[in-house]
Amino acid sequence: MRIGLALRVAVAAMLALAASGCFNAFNVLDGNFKPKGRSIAVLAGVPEDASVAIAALVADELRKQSRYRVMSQAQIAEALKPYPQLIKGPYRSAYFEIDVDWSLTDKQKLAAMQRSLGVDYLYVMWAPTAITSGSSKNTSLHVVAQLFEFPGAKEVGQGAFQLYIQKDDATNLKQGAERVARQLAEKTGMLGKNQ
Amino acid sequence: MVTTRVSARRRFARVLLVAVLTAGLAGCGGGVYKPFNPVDEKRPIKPASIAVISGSHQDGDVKLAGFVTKQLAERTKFRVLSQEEIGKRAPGYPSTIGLRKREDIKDDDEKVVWFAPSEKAKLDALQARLKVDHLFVLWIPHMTVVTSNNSTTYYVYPAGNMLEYPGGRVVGSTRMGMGSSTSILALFRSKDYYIVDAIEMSAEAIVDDVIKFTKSAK
Repeated sequence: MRIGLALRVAVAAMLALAASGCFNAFNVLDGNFKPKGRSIAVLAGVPEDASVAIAALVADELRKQSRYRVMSQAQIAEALKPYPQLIKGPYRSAYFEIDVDWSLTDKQKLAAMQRSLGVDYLYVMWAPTAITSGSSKNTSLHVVAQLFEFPGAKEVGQGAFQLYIQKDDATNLKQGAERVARQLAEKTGMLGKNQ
Repeated sequence: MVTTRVSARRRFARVLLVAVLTAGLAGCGGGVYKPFNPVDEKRPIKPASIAVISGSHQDGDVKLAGFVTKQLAERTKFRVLSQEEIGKRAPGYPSTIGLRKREDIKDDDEKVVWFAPSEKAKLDALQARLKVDHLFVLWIPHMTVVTSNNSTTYYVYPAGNMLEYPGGRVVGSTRMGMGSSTSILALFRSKDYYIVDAIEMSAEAIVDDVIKFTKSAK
């Protein structure tokens, strides 16, 4: 998709903000949150390349930066057939932006998936829309993500944010995934000892 | 009365859009405005059973398939499978039907085959489950938003192909653009009102042309 000059400027500004550290990808819903387990699976909620790639990058980073036992994407694909699959996400629509409604997620489906995976936490990421600025070929991926605790499929954290790809260069995307994983680990009290 | 006003507004919007497309949005929709174009005009397309297929699970594609389904059912003699019925008969629907690379499609091609050759098997498998005479697969591969001083216009550029079974021959092609501009009422409307409006107007234009070329009006 192409966007006008005003939005292009906005994308550039967002990019600068993200680079400067003003990037909030994850918040716990209860300030007193204490993790009840260590195992986690990072799932793509949309069966498309962008969501799958982001989920894989965040899973890798979470393994490096946190004390979570992170299920590999191969293990997930083995346990869930098919994977990736469409999971109704926390939004009413996703065209040029995501119209978020955190209550819309298909928690029944997630509960069924968790039974196959046997993990304590599911971190589910949806990237249903990507905006490409006309001339620069910079793409911003709009992402919403939720952290659920099991048993009970209780939502314990969430975030809506953007990740960027510049001219087919995935460096920014990897850096974004690093930040997402770090914030998830930090705010749930699971940051690795070496971090 | 309301219907008349809406139709008049839409007709005006369509005329305006054709002008805009002709004027310079050639890079997006290729400058082509063919809501439905038969591949072989000498070979009639008979109104039989049909399933309108969303080319992916993206909101724009799903919405367009829903609107075209509704319009075909209401306005034509085609026997139209509902989106719910498609979902029941084809688990996993909608799945992605991959498009050809943009650079492989000529800007002035009015009878584009949009799907990649490797995707034909997916469509054939879908038809085998749906058992319909026609599949009409639709995408919105491209959307733009243009902001000026006092309004924002959302453009969508639908693409589609109608296939005829048995055989799965492509008998029709869709290539067009449509826009919807914000007004003062935008303050009271949902975030996606205008983009959905552009999609709905596209569906109306597509079905207008399907009716014209297949002589299938109720």
